[in-house]
Order: sequence, then structure tokens, then C-alpha cells
Amino acid sequence: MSETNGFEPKIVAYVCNWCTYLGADLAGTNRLEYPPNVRLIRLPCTGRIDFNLIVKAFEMSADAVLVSGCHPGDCHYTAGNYHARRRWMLFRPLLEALGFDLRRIHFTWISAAEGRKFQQVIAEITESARKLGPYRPYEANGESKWRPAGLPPPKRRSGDDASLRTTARELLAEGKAGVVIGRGERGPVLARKPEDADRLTWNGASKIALTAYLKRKEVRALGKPAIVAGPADLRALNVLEQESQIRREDIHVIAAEGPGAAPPDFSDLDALLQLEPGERMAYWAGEFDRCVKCYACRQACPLCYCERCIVDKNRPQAIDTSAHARGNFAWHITRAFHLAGRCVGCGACTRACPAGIDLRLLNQAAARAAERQFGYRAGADPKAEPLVGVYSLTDKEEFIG
Amino acid sequence: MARVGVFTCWCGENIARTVDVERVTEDVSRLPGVRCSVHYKYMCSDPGQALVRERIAADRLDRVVVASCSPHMHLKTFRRAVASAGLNPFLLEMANVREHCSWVHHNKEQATRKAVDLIRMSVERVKHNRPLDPIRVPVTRRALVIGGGVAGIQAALDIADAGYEVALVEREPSIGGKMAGLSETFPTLDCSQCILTPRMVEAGQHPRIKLYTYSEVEEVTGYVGNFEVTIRQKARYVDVEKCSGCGDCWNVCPLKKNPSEFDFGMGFRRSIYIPFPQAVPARPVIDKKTCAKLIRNGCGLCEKKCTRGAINFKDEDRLVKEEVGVVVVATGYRLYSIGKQQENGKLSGYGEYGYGQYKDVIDSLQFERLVSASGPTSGALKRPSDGKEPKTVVFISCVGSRDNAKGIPYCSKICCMYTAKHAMLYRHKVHDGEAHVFYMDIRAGGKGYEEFVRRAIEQDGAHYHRGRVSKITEENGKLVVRGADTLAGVPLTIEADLVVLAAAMRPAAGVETLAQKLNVGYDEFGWLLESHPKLRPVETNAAGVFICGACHAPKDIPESVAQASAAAGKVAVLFANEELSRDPEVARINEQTCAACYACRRACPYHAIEAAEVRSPKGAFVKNTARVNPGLCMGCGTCVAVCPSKSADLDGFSEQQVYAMVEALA
Amino acid sequence: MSRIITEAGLRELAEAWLRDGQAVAGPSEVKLGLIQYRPITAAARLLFDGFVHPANSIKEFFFPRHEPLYRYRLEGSRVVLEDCEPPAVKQLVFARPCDAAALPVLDHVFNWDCADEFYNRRREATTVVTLACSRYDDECFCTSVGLGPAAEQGADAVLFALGGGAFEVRPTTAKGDAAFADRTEESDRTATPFAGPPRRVALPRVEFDSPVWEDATLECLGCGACAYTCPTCHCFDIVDEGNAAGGMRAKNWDSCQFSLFTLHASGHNPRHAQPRRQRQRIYHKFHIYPEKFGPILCTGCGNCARQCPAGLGVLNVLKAIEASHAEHLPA
Repeated sequence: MSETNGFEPKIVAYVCNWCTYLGADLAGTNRLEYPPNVRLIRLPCTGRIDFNLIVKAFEMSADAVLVSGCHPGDCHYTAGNYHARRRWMLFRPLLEALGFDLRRIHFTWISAAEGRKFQQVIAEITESARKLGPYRPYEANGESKWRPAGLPPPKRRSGDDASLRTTARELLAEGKAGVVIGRGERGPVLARKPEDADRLTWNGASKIALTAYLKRKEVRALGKPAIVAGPADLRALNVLEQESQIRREDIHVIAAEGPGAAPPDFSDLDALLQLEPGERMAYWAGEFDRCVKCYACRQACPLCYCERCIVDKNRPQAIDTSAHARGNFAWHITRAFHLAGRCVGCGACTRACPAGIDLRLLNQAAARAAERQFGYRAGADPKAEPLVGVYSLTDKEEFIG
Repeated sequence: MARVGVFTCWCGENIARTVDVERVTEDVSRLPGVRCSVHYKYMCSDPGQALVRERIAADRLDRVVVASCSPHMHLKTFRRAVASAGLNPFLLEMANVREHCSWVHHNKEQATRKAVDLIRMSVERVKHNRPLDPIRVPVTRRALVIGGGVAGIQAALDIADAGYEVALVEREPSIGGKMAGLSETFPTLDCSQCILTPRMVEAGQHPRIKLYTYSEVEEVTGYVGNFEVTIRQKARYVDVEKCSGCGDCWNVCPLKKNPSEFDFGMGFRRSIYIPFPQAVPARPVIDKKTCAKLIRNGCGLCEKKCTRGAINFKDEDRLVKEEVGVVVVATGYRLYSIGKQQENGKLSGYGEYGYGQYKDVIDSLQFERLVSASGPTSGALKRPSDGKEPKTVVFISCVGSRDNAKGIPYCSKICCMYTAKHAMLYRHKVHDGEAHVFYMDIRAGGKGYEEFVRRAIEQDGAHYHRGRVSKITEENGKLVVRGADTLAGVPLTIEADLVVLAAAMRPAAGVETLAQKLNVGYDEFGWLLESHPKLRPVETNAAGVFICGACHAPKDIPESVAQASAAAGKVAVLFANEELSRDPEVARINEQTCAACYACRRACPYHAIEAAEVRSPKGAFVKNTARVNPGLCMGCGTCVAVCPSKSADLDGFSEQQVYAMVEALA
Repeated sequence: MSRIITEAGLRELAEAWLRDGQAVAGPSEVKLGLIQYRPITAAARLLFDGFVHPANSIKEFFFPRHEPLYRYRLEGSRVVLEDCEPPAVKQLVFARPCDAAALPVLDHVFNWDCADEFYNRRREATTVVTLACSRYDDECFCTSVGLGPAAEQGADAVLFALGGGAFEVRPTTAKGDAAFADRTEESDRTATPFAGPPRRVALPRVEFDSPVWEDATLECLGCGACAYTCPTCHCFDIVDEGNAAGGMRAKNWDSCQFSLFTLHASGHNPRHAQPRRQRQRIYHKFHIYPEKFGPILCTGCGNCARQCPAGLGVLNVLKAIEASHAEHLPA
């Protein structure tokens, strides 16, 4: 046993039932000694291992987490490990943007025959966690002075308000739409009567994505919606259709003229990633300290359409509802990960936040991973296969030991 | 509050040597909810199990944790033990304090503390276990076999002989498949039709086999034990019930020069035809692409000639539904098309061999027809171009196979053997002829196979050259084959009269579409995927769907037949009971909170999740939802991880159970 | 004659509190363009002018978004309870009058059927110094709810900007007086009265059954931004957080705008649509609360409108109610 300051790390290992668990059994059968710091949690498959479990382990004061399953091609369920690999490819960049110390998370493939490898992996992880010292979940180490440049102001749309109003008025008068979702001077307008159309304008105030209204029961009850859509809205519609939330033929789209979506601007993300991981974590701790959990980010998002958000479920309570550091980190990690490969970059979460938290940066971390790793931009192609829930045999796994 | 009993095992000295079992028992007894904590020398022994049963009764325990060895060792043992005490077996958890603790740690203090931790995790977990009962699925004890080649026939016969009804679907007008067209078979050189035809007849006449020839599977719904299959019976224009197969119709048909599919274009057939004389059923079909009556309302001679009124020019495709409990796929193979034109961008052809350009460059199945006694030449070896007997024949193996550049890296497995057979058959027919074989390696693993190849070389005098052919040209009525003999180290040019190319095997056309209908996986080449390459070779990931024969991978006849019987055996096992009993540790969806994004459906490897609707008791539509078919779910839990609202959960490894374990580590 | 203090003097006051280990909070710029009430660690962070209203309210310093009530630990088979106490330190809070005015209103609800000792102790330990307004924006409507730019309710002292970095100090309580003892100078300068925003709405009669709710609030997306930045909204949830080793019971902010707020275990939700929830919020502020306790539950700060992602807010709903009444007037 090592003598490093007497600190003994706690290591949580999520392992699959068929390969790594049996590999650990084999290590036992062969009496291969390893440090006693690890606690194995047996799951049927790495495909079952959700990132929330990793977050939870750290909340329970784990100093390192291991996720281990069958080698590619060996999965008892054919593809669970591929699904897991795909998710981790998106999860890691997110943790990186948060300034999480990735040396505390380990992914390996260990087969039922690799008792020796299991022994080595546990020894290595334990040693590395000893050197890293105790992990303090989401505690800021000092303060970050870094500030992102922030969202650019919304682009002005070239469009004739008069013809917009005429279109909307006609749709409503002729009963072709039950509601026209657009923007007015003060904010979004849900025009239901022909005379409401006069409140619409192309360049109204907007803190939210208008497509967020498509998930509202009250709005759905009004009949066929027409929506005044900019480029981000169009992409959101594509994602909503991919995910079976809408059918395009059920929605009348009044699209803005002019250029389509500009490529995403990752300059703030780049600047964030220039910081030391510790400072990144300090930056986010400072930001999340202002989060009061009003869920404006979620409500304003076109793609947060769950009937019951995971934060509102309490058996088990995956995410603490309290607006303290632990609960806020868990919430924002979860939200960003649930949007990985789905976020269309509309910026609504950031604009809606009353505490001015630049949540966009987290979404961008996953969005850029999607672009770099898979050449995928959410909503760009309505026919594209979604990124999560599928996998490719050629997904990269340089981070898996 | 749960009443948990913890039973810690010494495993003789195996656990007790490094774990202080008495202290563990003492520490564990104070955990919240633990009503009883005892230890015993061998918990898995009869007295150990009796102890568990006694304490369940005495302490009114409703949850049990056994701290002993790996669950892979004794989970079933202890589940049985608690079940015999009247507790649901799924209210038991194990803590692995042997393989994961006492056997891998030496420091007794540390090992003891870890053992307590492991037990605490299991105690917290077991509080959230739910009683589960095996899932029972009713089984329709009828089988569908897709493909009427030798594998499909064998599978159908075996299942029917076991006492179950079979629907056998074949898309050609007759069953028989590729084997029906082969001349003689290696390594025994028995006549292919002589051994197959009786089996075809048997299948055709079997009281429990229903033949659907000239038919294709249109749609498959349902799941294991409960499939509903829609079969498209293509318009045959001949009423098979009225027809006696007398042959008057095809003898009178004036359109004689249609290339015969069965002969791979080596011979001809009429527009109303049976593909080969021994066809089952021996009923003709009318080729609507060439029949003058169907094209332009001309001719009609067959109709006039038929005394039974069996010709029906108004015939249409019919859709028939069959309810079956299992599906056996035996769709077989086709040959790689050698010419330049390929059907997809992944494959490339051999322009340099002149296939399709020179009449006397043919593939191996065409050669089979040429040498078949029932073939277009009645077994006389006449080359296609001028009908002359070829005096020099070059056989080239591995055409396409084992060639990454052509997009087919795999070995087609049977070509070495049939090429040897071809050389032999040729020499038997043309005693003064020369047979040259170009090969890469000779792969003759199999009973009597190596001896067979030696015979071709040593007794029948085939000339074997290890090397590739680079180009074939036609010069002065001869095919000039330029290659190399790499063993001799010399370039080789042979002037041949006939060249036979052993083209790679590929899955039958359209198999991907069929696989999608059945939710069966396939690899990049289209070969269907077995569930496990070693242990479940005829099962697929779609429960109740089995594969056999060359739809799975290149195979010869004995292997195909063996696999077909294996699949039939699996079917018989499944049919042995009126209902299936399945492990209840499967996923379920909270339909109230499901947002119907269907990420789970995309991710499910078993296609066990379907789109469904929630309806009010009066039947009004409430919402869309995902729904798990417990008859298909294998319990991997991938759906749980991809579900953003955790509306998917997995019994046995539920969110609450897993979180309870993690939170026990606080 | 008046008592005046310079801006430097105010900062010195704050520094003195911080030096004594006490807490100071007030408007500070947390990032470009975003001013919030925050606890501060250096007096230089405090802002005294140049903004209309911070993006949140001061209620957090009395009724935090998350407050543990007690903790528990599992020791063997025993459960050990530990009481939680609000911090004993004194607080100095710089606020706008509309924020301070919420405190006497909140005192009612936190001392009604049970005295909330967490709230009361914080209230006792806090000195609230308000900065009378010298500007307003389109969302301000204090004058419409009976308050104004220099309202004294809830303040221990009111500061008036005199220009040139000087403030007139008008203590209104002994606490306020004590805070500024020996820190002010006598002067003959006094602040010019500032009228504040025009009256934007006459407080209308709020009707429960009215089409106005659907008409005026359908745009609401159901977040809690209004409630959480409102100085008077005070709903909370009691949650248990913990694991196998221990945990806590805590009081967390909650909002009637969340669909789960009234969701029954049976699945039934009496406020099943967002306009119903909006109605609850307005009806509570202008009918239920005054009926029960007297004062209305709104100080006209306008934060609900500033922070609403959908551009709603109390003022706009009130205006819509007013307009709907006008429509129904007999011709």
C-alpha cells in the first residue's frame, strides 16, 4: 500500500455483466492482487451506463470513475458498447469545457479473459487518483476573470412587415392556421385572430426560440400552427421532425428571406478552452452560483420538450433540485448533454437566462464535437440520422484503454 | 421499511482468511433495514441454504442479501433458495466478497472494510428490488421458411417431421435452389439432382408443408411466437389446382428463344415454362415479359391447347397472410457479377477477363449447367460460342473473392472444391483435353476434401498453377490467358477454348430488404448476422428468426444442410412449449412521461421498442409513446441510457437500484 | 439641514462591515451589462448609480433560494439530527426602494401561522439601505401600486443622490441611524424630489373567470424567471436531499408557474394550462394576498417584465385586464 500522504482514493467502477465483471471474477480466481479502493457496480451492459451515473459518483465523493465493458465486437447485446462509446465521445468534450479533470474518468474495454488487465487497470487508476489527490466536486478554486464576448445581437431580417401581416391575417381568416407564432415589439406573439396579425413584425424582440411554442399543450390546442421562422427555427423544426415531435405538413412555415444559417461562431468556446482546466471550472462555478433554477433555459429551448424533465423526477433523484453548486452543475451538465447532437445554436437558453449565464458555450462544446467527430450539424439535414441512439463501427476511441 | 436479511459466507477459508466475517456480520447488522445478519461456513451448502430459508420465516424477511462469491457462480442457487421460502427470487441480491474482495486483497483490515462497503451497496440496492415474474409469451406453433433451396427444404422437412406446420416460400417457380442446377457434387461426385429431387418431392407432398412458390415475403409484423407474415404470390397465369403439368402448353408455345434463368443463359425456355423437368410443383408459369398474349393480346395458343382450362391471362398478384411463431431464413447466395458493371459503388469488376464480352468466358454455375446431364447440352460439353468441344479449359479461382480491391475481402470457401470438381468432370468428358487451374491457395478443409483435390491433380491430370491471371484476350478464335505460375516463377500464357471463372459468392439479391423486414442484422456485404458467432450460430438478434445455409456466409451443401437441421432443432425447442418463458429483467417505459422521441427505439439492438399510442379507457387518442415488447427485450438497458427523461427503465437494474448502490458509497 | 455622505464614505461604511466579519450585499456588475444584487467581498464592487434595477431582488438575503432546515446522519442504526441555523453575522444590504418595500409585505406571510425563524433572524440581523431612484425604465410601475422612487417601506435608511458623488441620508429606523452614526456630515443640500414613472395602470379589479387570462398570457412558457426575480414571490418547496449516509431537509424556492407546482399524485392537475397558472400568480398578488394580509404582493419593480423571456410581466397583464374592463363598459 502506498504511503502518499495517507490519502486513499475512492473509485467507482461501472462495469458490464458479461465482460469486465467476469474479468474481475477471473482476477479473483487467479488471486491477482490489486488495491482495495475500487467498488464495482454491475450493470448488464455499458450501453446501460448513463453519464448521470458518472456525475452522481463524483457527487458521492468518488475520486475517480471507471467505465468498462466488452471490447468492440464482443458485446453480449451486439452493440451496447458502441452506443456507450458514441455517447462518451460527446460527453468528454462537454466535461472538458466545464474544466473537469478528465484524468479522473477512465474508459476501458476489459474482456472476461483479461483478469490480468483488470488488475493492471485498477492498480493504475488507483495510483493516478492517489497522485491527483482528493476530488472536491465542482468547487471553484479561486475566481475567474474571464468573460465571453457573448451572443451577437440577433440579425435583422429583411422582410416586409406588411406582407407578413397580410399572410398571417389570411391564414387566420381562412382557417388555414389556428395560430401564427411570430414576434412582436415586446416579444413573441401568438396571433389567434386575424386582427392580431397587426402585432407581428420581422424584427421583434426575441429572447426565446419561437419553435419552443410547438411543444406547449395550450398552443397545440389552438389548431394548425403557422410559424415565422428564421434559420435557427428551421433547423429546430428539422430536429423536431427527426425526433417525431412534429410533422412538417402539420405546420405552416413563414420563412424569412435572406441568407441561411451562418456557420456557428466558436470563438468564445475557443477562448474558454485556452484557460487552464482549473480556471474553467472556476468560471463555471461563478456562473452557476447565480443560477436559481428557474428553468428559463429549458422552457425557452425548442428541443427541451420532455413531458417530465429528469430534474423533476425523484425516484431516483438523479439531479438535486436545490440551487446549490452540486445541483446546479448536475443540472447544466445534464441539460447540455441531453442537447448534444441536437442543439441548433439558437441561443435561446442564454438570452432567456435571468442570471446571464452563457449556457450556449456548453452546448457548443458538444456541437463542435459533433461537427469534428461526425461531420454532423444538428438540424442541417432533415433526412440525416440523429447522432445519439445510433453508432458507427468507426467511431473513434482513442480515449478508451 | 424493508426487512433485509444478510447472509455472509466464509466459503471455508476462502473468504474468512482475509475478511473478518464476524466483524462484517456485526457491522452489517447495524445498517438501516437489516433485520438479520448471520454468517455461515458454506452458505451454498444445503444447511447454508436451509439457514436462509429459516431466517426468512423467523425474521419475516422480505429482502435477502447473500455475501459470498460471484453472482455468476451462485445467483441461481440462492434465487432458488429464497423462492423455496416463498420469497420472489428477484428480491435477492448478492455481494461478491470473494472474487472481488477476499481473493484479491491481503490486508485483512482493508478487505474487511471493503466487504462491508460491498454489502452495504447490495443492501441499499435490494431495498429497491421489485418482485418479478417470468414473462410468458404464447407461441403459434407454425413456421415460415424463406427460401426453397437445399437449406430451406431441409429445415422445412425437419420442422414438419417434428410435427409442426411449415409455410415454405420460394420466389422462383420451383423449389430446389442452386443445388437443383448443379451437375455432380464434391467430394463424392454423386449427381446433385439424384439426391435433391426426392427431397423436393417429399417437401412438395408433405401434409404439413404448404408451398408458396413464385412468391415473396411482403411484410412481417409481430414478434417471436406471434409473427404475421404477408406473402405476395406473384401472378403465375396458370391455375396450379387445375393444371396437371402435362406439358401441352409449353410444347405449343412458339416463343422458344428466351434465355433460361435456370440455365444461367446457357439454354432457352419458352414463354410458358417450367424451369426444369423435375420442378416442384411441376406447374408452369407464364413469363409476362415475353408472352405475346400478355404483351399484345396475340397468340394465346397455350390457352386453346389446355384441356383443363388452367390458363388464366387475367391472373393477378395475391397477398396471403400466414400466422407463424418462427421464421427460418434460407435465402442462399448468388454469384458476384464479374463484368465491369457492378450494382453498387462498393464493388468493382474484372474488365480484363472479358466476361460478358467473350462468349466462352463463363462463370462456374454456367459451367455446372454445361456439364449437367439434364442441362441444355444434355451433358455434352459444347462451348457456348460455336458448340465445339473445348480442348483446353482454364479454370480461375478466387475471382472477386479475397480481393479487397474488388470489395470482397472474404473467401468464398467452396470454389477450391468445385474448381477441382470441374477440372475432374471436364477430364472425364474430354479425355484428350487439358484442364488448367489458376489458384491462390487451395483450401480443402473437410471430410475427404483434400483427397479429392489430390485426385483431380494426380489421377485426372489437372494442371494446377499457383498464380493469378492478369488478362484474357481473344486471338484467332482462341482465348489467350496470360498469367503467372509463381511457384515456377515463370509467366504463363495458355491458349484456351473455354475459361471458367470461380466467381465470389454473394448473398441473394434483395436480402437486405428482407433482413430489414425481419429486423435481422447484416454485415457490409449483406450476409445475415448470427446472434453469437460461436454459441448462437443459427439464431439472430431478432428473437424467433433463425438463419441457415448460404444467406449467413459462403457454405457448401453439407454445411448448409447441417445448419438447416440445427435451425429446425431450435424451432422444435421453441415449439416444445405452448408458451415461451423469458427472463423478466427487461425494460419498460413510463408511458405517462414518455415524450415519444424514440431515441430508445433507434438504439434498441433487438427492435423490441415500438411506437404506440396511449388511449383513454374510451379509446380516445391521448398521446404517442414508446412501448417495450417484453417478448423481444433482452435487457441490455441501452434504452435507459439514451432516454433523456428516464421514462425508460430496466427491471433488475433499475435507476433506483443503481443509484441506491452509488449513494451507498457516500 | 440634512445629513450627507460621499460615495467614498459609503464604501468605507461597507468596508468597515466587511472588516468586522459582517456581510454586505448590493448591486454589482457581475458581467458586462448585467447588474445583480450580490454579496460582495470588496466595497469597490458596489454600484450606487447608473442603473434602473438589478436583474434580481434582495429577497435572497432573507429567504435564500436554498436553505437547509436540518441535517441528518445515519450512525449505525441510529439517525442523528442536527439543527441548522441561519448565519449569525449581520448584513448590510443596499437596495432599491421597491425591493425594500417588499420586506414588510413578506413579514406577514413568514409570521402567519408559524413564525419562520430563519426569515425573522435574517431580517433582524439586516440593515437595509435604499438608494432612491433618479431614473426609471418602461417596466417600472411603483407609482401605480402606491409606492414611489423614494418609498421608505422596509428601509432602515434612504439615500438620495445629490450629484458630485454625494448622497443625502435619511435614516428611518434606529438600525439605520446606527449604521450611519459618525459617518455623515451636516449639510444644507437636500435632494430634489423625483416623481418617478408615470402611473401606468389603475389597479383593476381582478376577476377569476375572465377570457383575459387566455388572451393575455398564452405566450407564457412556464419558467420561474418572474417569480425568482420578484421581490415578493415567496413560494417554496420542502425537499429532502440525501443518500445512505445522511442528508438534509431544505427549503427551496418554487414557482406557481411550473406545471408540477399543482400536479397531484393522481396525475390530475387543477392548473392544467399556463394561463391558469398566470391567473394564479396575478390573482394571488392582487386578490388572495391582500384579502388575507392587507397589502398587495407587488411593489412595481418591473423585474417580471424585464426578465420574462416571453415579454410578459405583471404590468402587461394588468394593462390587459384594464383594457378588457374598458371593452365591457356600457357605451
